[in-house]
Amino acid sequence: MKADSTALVTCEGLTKIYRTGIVALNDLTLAIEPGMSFGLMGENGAGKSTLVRLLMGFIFPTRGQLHVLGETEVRRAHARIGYLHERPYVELRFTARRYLTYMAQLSGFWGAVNRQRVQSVLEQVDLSAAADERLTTYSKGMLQRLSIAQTLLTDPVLLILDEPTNGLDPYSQWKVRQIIAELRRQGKTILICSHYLAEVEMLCDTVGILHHGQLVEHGAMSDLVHSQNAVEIVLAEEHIASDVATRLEIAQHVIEAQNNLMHIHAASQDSVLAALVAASISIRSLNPVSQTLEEVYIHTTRPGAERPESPVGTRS
Amino acid sequence: MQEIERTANTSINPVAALRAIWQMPGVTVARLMLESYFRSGWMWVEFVLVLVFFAALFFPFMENVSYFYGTSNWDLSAIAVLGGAIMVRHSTGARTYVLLARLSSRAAYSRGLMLAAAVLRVPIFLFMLLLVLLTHRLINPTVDTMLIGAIGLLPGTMLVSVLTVTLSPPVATRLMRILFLCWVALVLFSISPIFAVPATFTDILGIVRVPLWPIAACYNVSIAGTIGLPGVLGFLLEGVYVVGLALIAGYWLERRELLLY
Repeated sequence: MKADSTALVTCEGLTKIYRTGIVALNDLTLAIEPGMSFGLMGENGAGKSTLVRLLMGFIFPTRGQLHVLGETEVRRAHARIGYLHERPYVELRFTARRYLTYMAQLSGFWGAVNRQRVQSVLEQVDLSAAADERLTTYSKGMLQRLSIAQTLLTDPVLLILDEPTNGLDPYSQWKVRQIIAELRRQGKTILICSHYLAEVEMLCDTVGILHHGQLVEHGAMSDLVHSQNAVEIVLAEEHIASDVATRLEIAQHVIEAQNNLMHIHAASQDSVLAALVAASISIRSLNPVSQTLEEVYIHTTRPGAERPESPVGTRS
Repeated sequence: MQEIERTANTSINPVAALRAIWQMPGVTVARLMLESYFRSGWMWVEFVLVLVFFAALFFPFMENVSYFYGTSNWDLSAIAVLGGAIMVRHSTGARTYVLLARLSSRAAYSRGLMLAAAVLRVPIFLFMLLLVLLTHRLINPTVDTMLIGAIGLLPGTMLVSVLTVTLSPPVATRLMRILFLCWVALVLFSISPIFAVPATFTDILGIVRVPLWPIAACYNVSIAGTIGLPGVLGFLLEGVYVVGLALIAGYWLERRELLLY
């Protein structure tokens, strides 16, 4: 894929080899367009944190090109990036307001503007009631929301959220996801690194899967979950799918058949339908087969992994 | 008319200038570091060390101002090294990423650390001074000798704290610290060789002590209580050292790969 010049983030042939010889990223090319919500998935050591560090300019590429908000020296773009570290590093002996005030001052906001920004982000993450309490009294979920608040202080163009719900209880996860979903509705460009596939599926419109430092899958969420290239046909209840396939000599097009349900290759959809119509076999529905992001992830990173057996019926 | 406008435009508003300095990212980083250092309790370790040095070196004796400054130059420098190292260690880790993500230059971060470490030398010195004055441990202290002594001492301890920050990770690499220690070893060897070497060799080796001249000049100012031309030159050169170290630290930090945990 060729990196796009309109994209907020472009990586072309990005490679990072640490001094120890570990190839953390290998020839990665991707583009994050404005308004995109990009989910980056991968296991520990897949290269997610390395990519985030590169995008933030904390480390430098060994090879390849990287542009963030049009800058090759990423630190010049820092004012327009909201960065959330994978762990909520805050000054625990401060209050939320005090901490955010410093963070806003570091970004160049002083006086009334500073106070207004701090109050605004506190409200955005629903922490204004606890703003003047010591952070030592905060739960992990509240600290994470505070960390998200500091990313929003500059009203950034690009948000880089590294493991935004890692280690949080279900309610805090939900709360953080609500905040991210709202940011998405506001049109922010978001890069989310996450282990939680359901979270990525919920919050992202584009997905990249990193595996051993390589981007092994990349594309729009809708394309990926429908990329199995199969169609599911549900026949009228009196028909047995495997018998119908044999009788009409369309078994070569069938991927799977159980009871009155058959999965066929999408390319052979027309000929199968024609055969069914000719034999006057009524069908109840016809839909493209989709897979969950988890299935996409497992099939991509573990091509040999077996699918779990269906609890209903047996395959033909 | 144009001349008047130019004058008006170039006149400096001291309040605005101070506000601009106060709002510099490096100063904000320094304030954040100092408040965090204070709230963490580590700052009190330095004050406790002052108490320890006072109890060991000043309380048992009645000495003159020269002894006070001669001794304080060493013990406050030792505290500056220890305090600077603790401050950098306390302030540096994965959370540094969060601060650096807000800055368009890493140099602002290193300058902030240096400023915080250097500014702290003032209350530390004042605490020591207060202790010796309150307990009447000084013979005939006069305002002018005390003041000149302070002027001689403080830049030196500030320079030591700035140097400590510069040589601490993540600013300097291990190789840089080893090279610095090699230089210190050479300086010590040139002063007091631990094995016999030709006199010519030690004379030539004396060149490694040249960078220490400004520090020696300021040290002499603090113990003599008078400022001469060497003292003034010493102050100026110490200032140059501090600025130079700030630039070097910024340069190094900008080019370091930051893998912080």
